[in-house]
This record gives sequence, C-alpha cells and structure tokens, in this order.
Amino acid sequence: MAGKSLIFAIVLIPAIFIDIILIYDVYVKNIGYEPAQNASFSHRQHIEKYEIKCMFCHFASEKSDYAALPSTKNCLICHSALRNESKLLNVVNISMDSSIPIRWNRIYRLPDFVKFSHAAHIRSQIDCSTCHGEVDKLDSMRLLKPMNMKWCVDCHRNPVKYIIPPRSISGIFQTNAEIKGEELINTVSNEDYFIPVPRSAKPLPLNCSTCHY
Amino acid sequence: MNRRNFITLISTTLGLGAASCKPPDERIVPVVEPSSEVYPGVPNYYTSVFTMQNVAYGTVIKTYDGRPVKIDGNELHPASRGKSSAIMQYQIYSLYDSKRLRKPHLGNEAVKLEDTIQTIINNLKSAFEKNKKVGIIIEQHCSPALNEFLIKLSNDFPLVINYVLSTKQSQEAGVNKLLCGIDGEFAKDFRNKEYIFSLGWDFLGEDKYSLYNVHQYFSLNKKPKLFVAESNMTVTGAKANERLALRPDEYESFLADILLHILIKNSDKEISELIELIKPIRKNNFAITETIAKNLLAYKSLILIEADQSPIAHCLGAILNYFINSDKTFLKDIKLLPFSANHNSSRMRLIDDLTNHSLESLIIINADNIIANDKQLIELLKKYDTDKKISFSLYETDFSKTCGLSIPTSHWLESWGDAISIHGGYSIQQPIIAPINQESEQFQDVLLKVFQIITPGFLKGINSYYDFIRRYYAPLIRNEEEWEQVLKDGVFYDTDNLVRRIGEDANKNINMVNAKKVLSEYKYYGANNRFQAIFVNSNEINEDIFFPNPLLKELPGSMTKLTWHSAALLNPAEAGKLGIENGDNIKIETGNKEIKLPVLIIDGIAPQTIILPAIQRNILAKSVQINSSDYRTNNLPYISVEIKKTNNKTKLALVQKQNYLFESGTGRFNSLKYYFRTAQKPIFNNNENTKDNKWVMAIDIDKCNGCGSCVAACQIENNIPVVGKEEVLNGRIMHWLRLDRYFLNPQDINNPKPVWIPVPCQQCDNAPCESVCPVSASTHSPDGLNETTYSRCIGSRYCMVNCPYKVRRFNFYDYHKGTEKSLELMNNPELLRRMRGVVEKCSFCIHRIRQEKLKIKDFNSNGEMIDSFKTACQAACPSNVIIFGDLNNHKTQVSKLLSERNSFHLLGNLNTKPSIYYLSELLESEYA
Repeated sequence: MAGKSLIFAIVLIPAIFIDIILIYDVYVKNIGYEPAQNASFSHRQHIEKYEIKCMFCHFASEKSDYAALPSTKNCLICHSALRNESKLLNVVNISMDSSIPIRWNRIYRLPDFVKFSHAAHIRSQIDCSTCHGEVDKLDSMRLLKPMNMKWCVDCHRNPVKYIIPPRSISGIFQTNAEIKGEELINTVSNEDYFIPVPRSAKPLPLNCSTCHY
Repeated sequence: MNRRNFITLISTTLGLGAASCKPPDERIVPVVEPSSEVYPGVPNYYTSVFTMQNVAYGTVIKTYDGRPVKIDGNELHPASRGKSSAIMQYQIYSLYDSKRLRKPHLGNEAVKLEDTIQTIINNLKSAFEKNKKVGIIIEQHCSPALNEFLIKLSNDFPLVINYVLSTKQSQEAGVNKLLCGIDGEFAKDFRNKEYIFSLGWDFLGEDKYSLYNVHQYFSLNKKPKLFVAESNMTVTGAKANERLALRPDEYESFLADILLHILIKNSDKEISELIELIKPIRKNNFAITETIAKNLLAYKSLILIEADQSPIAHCLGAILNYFINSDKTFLKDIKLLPFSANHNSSRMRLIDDLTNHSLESLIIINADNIIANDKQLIELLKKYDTDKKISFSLYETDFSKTCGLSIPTSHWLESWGDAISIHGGYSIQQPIIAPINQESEQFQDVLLKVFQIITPGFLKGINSYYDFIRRYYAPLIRNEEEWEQVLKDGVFYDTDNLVRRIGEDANKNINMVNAKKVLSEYKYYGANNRFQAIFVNSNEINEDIFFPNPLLKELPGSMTKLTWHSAALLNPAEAGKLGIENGDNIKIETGNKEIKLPVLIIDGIAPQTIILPAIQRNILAKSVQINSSDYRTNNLPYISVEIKKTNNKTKLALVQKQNYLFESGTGRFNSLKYYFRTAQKPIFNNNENTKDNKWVMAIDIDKCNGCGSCVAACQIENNIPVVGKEEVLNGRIMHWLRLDRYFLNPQDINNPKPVWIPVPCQQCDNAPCESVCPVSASTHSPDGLNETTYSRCIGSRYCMVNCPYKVRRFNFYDYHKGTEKSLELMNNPELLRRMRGVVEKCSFCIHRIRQEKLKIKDFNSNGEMIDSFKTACQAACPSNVIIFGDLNNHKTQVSKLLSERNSFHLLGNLNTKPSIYYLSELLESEYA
C-alpha cells in the first residue's frame, strides 16, 4: 500500500508541478506571441487613423475558410499614390518589382486537424475582435487570444458572454453586395454596415465534427 | 482526483517532455498579383472533356488554388450526364504521377524540348529529300479538329501518311460496311424497346460506352426484358431477366438456330438460299431458341452482338435484326457512332509499308499501348531503325525506349483539344493547369511548329493548336462571348451541320449478296471436348489504356472482387471436376505456348470455358506477362486450350471471400409475391420534433451494377490511400465504401443472380461503435452522424470490433508517407489526411454538409437545404443507386422515395437504427 502511494506521489507531484508551468505557458505566455515581421505594418495606423475596414485587406474572409492576406498589388492600390516615398514601403515595392511575395510570420495559427471557417463566423455576424482582440489598437500584430479548444468551446457554450456584435470598422456586410476597392472607402457610410439581423435561436454547434473531420 | 484528471496530468507531463510547448513558426505567403478567379480556400470548377479512344465524356474539374483535385461528369453533356466512371475519377492520378516522362530523350540522353524540334525537322527533311514517306501513327480518337489537322497535314505534305490504330478491332464496323455500306458502329438505343437480346455484349459493364449505356438503361421508366447469352459472368448477365451460359464456340450456332426458327416459315427463293447457308452453322439445337425467336418477333426488340465476335456472328445478327423489323428496314433511325470506323485497313497499310521499308521516318503519338498489344506490329517496329522512330508519350514505356527520340506530351488536363460524343455534342478540352512538367508540350503544338518551320506557309496565321481549334469551330463559335459560354457549358451542338455531318442514316436495305459471301466463309474452329478460353478486359486490367494506375489496380473487380492481379476464371462445377480450388496455379496450354495463372472460381461461367485476362502487365510496366495477341488465331474471340493443375498455390488478393448469403441473409431480395404477402409499412420516419437535419441515404440495390465508380469517387474525395497488394492480403484495404457481391442462386449455372450491395458506414442512431470508444473519439452529432475525431483516436480499434458492418478502417501505417511531392497535390484540402494509428470511416461527406451549411448562412439564402448537394458517391453513380438527403424535410427526394418504397436495414434485427435504407430488390423474373 505504501509502495503504491509512493509511486503515485512520484508520478503525480512532478506532473502537477509541470502542469502549472504548462498552463502558464499556453494560457499566459503564448498570448502576446509577437514574431518580428519582414514588413513593419501597423494595424492601428490603418484602422484607427484611416478607417480602413478589415474586409478590405482580408478580402476572402466572407467567402472562404481563410481570411487571406492582401496581395502586394492590394497594398499598392493606395500606396502607389499615398506616402510612396516612405522607406517602410520598400518591402512592398521590392516585392512588386521582383514578383516575389512578402512572407509574413503566422500569428493566429490552428493545427491542421481543426477546420475553422472565417466565412461561417462572419456570416453569423460575429465581429473580428471577438476572436482577434482589439487589433485596431496594435502597432505590431501579436496574439491576443489563447487559440485553444477550451477557448473555442467556452464561447460556443455561452456565446452571449463573449460575442461582440459587428463594429463598423470590421466591414462585415449585412447585405451580400459586392463592394470593392475604392467604393469601400469612399461611398459606404458607417450606418450601412450595421443592420441587426436576428441570430438564430439554435444553440451553437458543439459536436466534434463541427471542427474535426 | 478522478481518473480523467489523472490522465490529463500524466499526458501533459509527457507532452512537456517531448516538446517545448511552442507552436512551430509558420509563414503566410500571399500572392503578388491577385487573380480575379481564385480565392484562397474556395474551389473553382472548369469544364473539359475526357476521351477514351472514340468515346468522349464531358467533365467538370474542381480546382483549389489552380490545381485540379477532382474530376466529375458534366451534367449538360449528353454522354456523361454528370456521372463518372472509376477510370475517369482516377485520371487525376496520372496528372500528378511523378513517373511520367520528364524530359525528352535523344537516345539515352536527356535533351531540351527546343533541341528536339530541330532533330525532328532534320529527320523529316532527309525523308522528304529522298522522296520517301513519313508515317504518323496515332491512337483512335474522337477529335474532329485533330482529324482535320492530320488531313491538312497529309494534304499539304503528300509524303506524310496517317495511320489510325485502335486497341480492339471492332468486327461490327467491318460487317456494317459490307451489309449497308457504312463503315462504323451504330449507336444502340434502348428507348422504346421491349425485348433486348444480347449475345455476350457486356454493355452495362466492360464496354467503353458503358457509362452512357448504364445511365440510359437504368433511367428507363419501363425496363425492357433482357435476355443474355454469354460465356463469362458479366454485369449485363447479372442484370438480365434470363441468362444462358453459352460456350464461346457456340455463339454462331446459337444465332443460326434463332435465325432458322424465324426464317423457316418463309418460302421465298432468296431466303431458302440463305437458309441453306445458315444450316451448317447450326451445330446443335438449343431448347430456348424457339422462345427467343418468338419474343423477338412479338416485341419491339434489339439485338446486341459483342464487338469482338467473329464477322459471321455480326452478319447473322444483322440479318436477324433485318428480319425481326416489321417494316423490313435495316436499323432505321439509328445514328452512327462518331469515329467508330474499322481501323483494320489502316493497320494493314502500316504493316505493308513497314515490311516494304517504304517509311523513312515514323512519328508515334500516344500509341505505345496499342503497339504493345499487337504482336505483329511490335516485331516489325523493333526491326526498324532506332533513329527513324520519334515517339510522343506520357510515360516512358518499353516501346518508347526503343525510339531514337522520345518526347513527353502533356496530359489531357494540360492541353487544348476537342471531342465529339455519341449524340453529336461537341466539347472543348481546355487546359485546367499549365503543364506541370515544363519540358512537355502537347504534340499538336510540336508538330505545328515543326511543319511550319519546314514550310513557312503551312497553316498561315495559326500560332498554336488553340488557334487551330478556334479557326476550326469559327463557323459555330463566332465571337469571344460565345466561346466563353461554350467553355462554361462544356458542350455545344452543331444543329445546322456547319462543321461536319457526323452520322448518316443507314441504308434501308441489307446487301444480301455480301451477307451470303460472309456466311459462306464459315468454318468451325472450336473443339467439342476441350476447354475454350476467351480473353476479356476486366475491371482491374482496363487501366492498361492509361498505364499503371495503382488506384485502379486496387479497385476490386466488379464480379471477381480481385485486386492487383488477374486470375483465370472457372465455374465451380468445372473446377470440382479438375480438382482445382481457389488460388491453385494452373497451366493453360495452347499449341506450343502456355500461360500460368491462379484460378478464381466464379459462378455462372459457361461449362468448359475458362476466362483469361486479355493483358496482364506488372505494376511498373516493365514487362507484359500475358498478351492475348500472342495466342489468338484466326481473328476469333476464343481459342481451344488444355488445362493442367500444378502443385503451387497463389494467395489471391480478394477483398471478399464470402460469395453466398446465409439463410437469414444480410440483404433482402424479395419476389413480387413476397412483396404482396408481407406488405410492410413504409418506414418513413416522421420525426418532426427536431429542427435539425437528419441525413440519410437510400440505396437502390436493384439498379446497382457494381461498376465501382462510387468507390473511386469516395477514394479521390476523401484522400483515401492505396495500401498495396501485401496489405490487401492482410485484409487492410482502406476503401471507405465497400461494394459487396453475392450470388443468390449458387446452384443455377445459367443464372446465379449476382447482386451488389454498396456498404458505406451505416451511420447508426444506436451506434455500437460509439459506446465502446475509450476516448470518445466516436460520437454522435445532432444531425444523426457518427463522427470520428481523428485527433482524439488512440487506435484501440474497439469500435472496429464492435461494428457489425465492418466498415471501419484502421491506418496500420502512414500510407501517405513516402508518396512523391507531386502526388500530394492530388489531395482534397477540404478534409484531413489521416495519420497512422487512427480508425477512419465514411463520414457522409461531412465537409460537403458543412460547406452547404455555410451557404445557408448567406443572407440571400432561404435557409433550406433541399437536395442542394450530393455526396461524392452519389454524384458519381451512373445509375442513380445512391440518393442522399434530409429525412426531416418532406421536399427532399430521399424522404419521398422512402415513403413510397419498401426498404430494409442491414442487420436490422440488431436494432442499430442505421441511417442507410436499402430499397428492396424485386427479382424481375417474377413480373412475367
């Protein structure tokens, strides 16, 4: 009996100890993951100052599983005229001239056995900041949410507590109208974005095959 | 502390020890210039056309980020009608196959594509200077533009001679030419027919038109009565109302017997002459022929003769067809099949020219396979000077190695082309992806370049084969918008015959003089007391047209259920007489040659008949082991052989070893009497309490002909690996959808009645697999699916043991590991590629369900999903066996069907409540 509890203690005590480190690692330390990027891009500048909608650059998020990063050409829609002498834009110009894409370090990362659809969430009118935090306050992009299963499931269990309704800055359309490029910046006013649509009374899916297949 | 927390802690400890808990650094690389068509993660669909000799099937190709991942049928196309065959599905493999010829080879040296053009020019120029002929050997095709291109070539360069070769010499076209002056085969129309008599023609199975035939036959409202007389046990025989197992040397005799029953009453002088000619052909009397003759006269009938049969048989069939028609017209209103002429004359010309040495240079285009199957040709070509042979091919083959210059061509998914199908629908073959292999180009472009350099005026203004196609169809497709529309639809019609007439009506009268001439040449080649062997192209072997395709090799034969290798087929009675068991090796002696093969015993094969594979090649196409052209003589479909048992045994890579159903039966096949006796209530699940969907599948086994296209479609859709022969022998085949074949009447040699039952995961509501999983990797979803969560699975395999249907598959190895990088592009990105040590199974195409659920989240959607999508197997099935949908919605096809028809569950007594409803088969012989 004594031997058994000794083995138990030998296994368990380090386990608990390491677990604490691990929980810290995953829940606290990983938040704030901020790798150096090849191009210094400030979300705050673009969103807070110039009110560019998220959807303008992350153009696929309404249609696809992936939000997509803007192509080099997409950057140059504005920057061929705006502040085009800035040194910070060297990366973009070099990429355009050499046809070599800009390589970004991935921050929001899901393992490949998880299927997450941006389109499903955006069509349900969940604001970007629900999962990505207040990106509009960041000069340098970093991980603001833990991105683990518990975090996903918590929200699916109790959405009212977590979900942020769409903000105008996200550019989540309530209509399916195709609004492109310059129109998006110039013609669409803030009010156009915010048409409340009743969310279905159905509970959010929690079964395994929602994400794993 | 409970068990759960304990496990959590222990596993986290171990996890920490193994890795430093940090996700690996990953990159995101966006494009420089966006394409207006391509969205990351959103598939695009393009039409194209798949051709197999002279048959064209319109296709729709799904691409992700510009790479093709799946080939399906085009719903607008008259031949494919949205359906696909296994061969079509597996074409995606040959696109990414790394074994494809990478670089042009001059001798043994790899050269650049540009350099080869100069070599060809030098070769041709020297031939033209000597005033000697240049031969272009090409496989039978159905491309009007290519035909025109080759005609233009030989018009402008009279020394260029075209030879068209085909794999199977159709005797029918030759006979048709003699009897009604048209060189070609006729399209068979099953509509408005009441009685079909087929002599050995497997039109629902191995025929190249079978995809079209199956769809046409099974979508008839009133099915004709089908009588089949055949030596092999074929799919058509299985679907017949009545069947007769006939020795292959009795075919002509059988036809003559029927014909005599019809003609005997006629006292016309000309006909009595005919009777005198037919009488010697009738060797023995058959009991059943009188009824057949009566039926043929009484109903609107159709007579089908196997294309491979002797000219005598085809001639008898044509005469029979003529006399049973009430208005005495020879095949009225029947259209010619495009490009179905008999190419024997072309082959004879080639052989003559090769023996005379009148050809200075030879260009062989994609014809390696035909040449490999033709003993006489290959011997002649071997003697030919190596430098004079230029070969264009997809793969490096035995033959291409003997050519001085071998050039890789591009795959059909990488090249421009066109095709004409059965009912005159034209299709444009558009490249879906730029040539993966940069040193390859489509042969038309290379030829165009070469001949334009030799004579700069040749086809002026045309810079590529694309231009040539545009110019060829210019009368039909007038502007850019119409061209876009044609590419979008994938099919267009030439209603005013602007391009070329494709079919002519046949002569009204039969040429009796020629018919008599053919019949007078009759000679009996069989031998009464010996075994007769016939060579067939079976499912597993068909892939030789497209070169080794491991996916096709592993697809079980529809009747044999054999993978990876072929066997000699015998019926149980004959095998018993010879003392042979399944897997015994035998020696088949014919003349001074012999074939060694293992035996597979199959019900329903004619007495004293042995079925041999037409060609057997080893996996890497290094050598041909069996080639029917070595043995066949006299242009007959059969040969007489001697069978000797040896002491060796071969393990047969069978996927199903149980051929008969037990008394209680897993499947139910009721006669009409039974149906009335036990009028069961339809099992419509009127479950309206849940707002959720209830996904169910109805499988109509009555229509299933075991073609395996569902298995193939499932494999490509779900990234299911190929496991190899060794693993199949271990019983570890990975196909999620199993296609069981059972013989219902094992005692009856004439009609053993094979039936097929597709068995995917039954998605039980009371699932035995779910209750035993120790880690909850197998769970139930609100919409009634059994989910498997691969990331949770620890591979205990309890679920596999507890599943009564045995539909779960375990990944014993990382089967994907070690596949070439290029083949990884073939994978479907919509779902996970499973790792080693997890159990997987059919998911009801869950990714398609999820995508559809996403669509109803769209603001324009009304939120209903009524048959708006199909599972991969359903989409492919040519005879609409599989119907998938939501049972909780009254408007869906499946809920309507289940409320109308009787259905049963597999092993329903176990109360597993499966979501798969099998519609009961009614044995149709009970109708009459």
